[in-house]
Amino acid sequence: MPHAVTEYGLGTPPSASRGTLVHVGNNLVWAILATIFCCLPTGIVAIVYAAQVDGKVSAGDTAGARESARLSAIWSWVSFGVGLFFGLGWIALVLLGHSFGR
Amino acid sequence: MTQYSIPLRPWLPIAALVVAALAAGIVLMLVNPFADGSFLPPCPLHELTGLYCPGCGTTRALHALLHGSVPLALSMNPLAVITVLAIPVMLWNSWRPGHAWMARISDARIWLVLVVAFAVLRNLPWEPFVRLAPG
Repeated sequence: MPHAVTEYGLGTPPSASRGTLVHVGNNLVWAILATIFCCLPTGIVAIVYAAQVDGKVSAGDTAGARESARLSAIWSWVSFGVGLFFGLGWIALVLLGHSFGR
Repeated sequence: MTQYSIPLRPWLPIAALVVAALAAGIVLMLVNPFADGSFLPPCPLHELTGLYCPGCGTTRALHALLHGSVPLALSMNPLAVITVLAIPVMLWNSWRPGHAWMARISDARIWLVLVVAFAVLRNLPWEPFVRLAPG
């Protein structure tokens, strides 16, 4: 099972009947971390997809919820990647500046 | 159905998060982001556009929190302070769901409204909204 999706069927397969509790992880933690700590608009996209997960779970659309959770995770990773690239690039430039004087 | 999820063990991202948090904590204990010429990176969006994003001031807010100044942390980025409190709750909720208040904190729709509203309000040039900008 991929780490992004957690499901809790109560004894029956998730799609069996109405009233079966299906929980799809919305990956919100990573979306928020990506937005606040990587400081990027792409993090907001991740939060938008995370918000779709909860709505789709409420509507009984488990497949759609899984897809939104997957997209949310991808956008979070994009944010982390760009944030890391910018952060390390910045530190490298500052160190270069220090080593070459002012 | 195609699945592109990375085949990692469920606890790995959380372990990575704890390690990153500890590393960031150690760096922020040693380096002062308030100082001129600090090598800690500024917000890319603010550097490029002059606008404040929802994360602007987070580095300084975390530094202030680590050094025991909650008011200074709140003045730099109140959302970052809230996030620091909310993340453990969310992780617990995804591990052991069942508490209604934890589920509410983990509701992404609330966070979407909160983050977007914060992004807009902290860029408004009038009192009291200017207090939301890290300056």
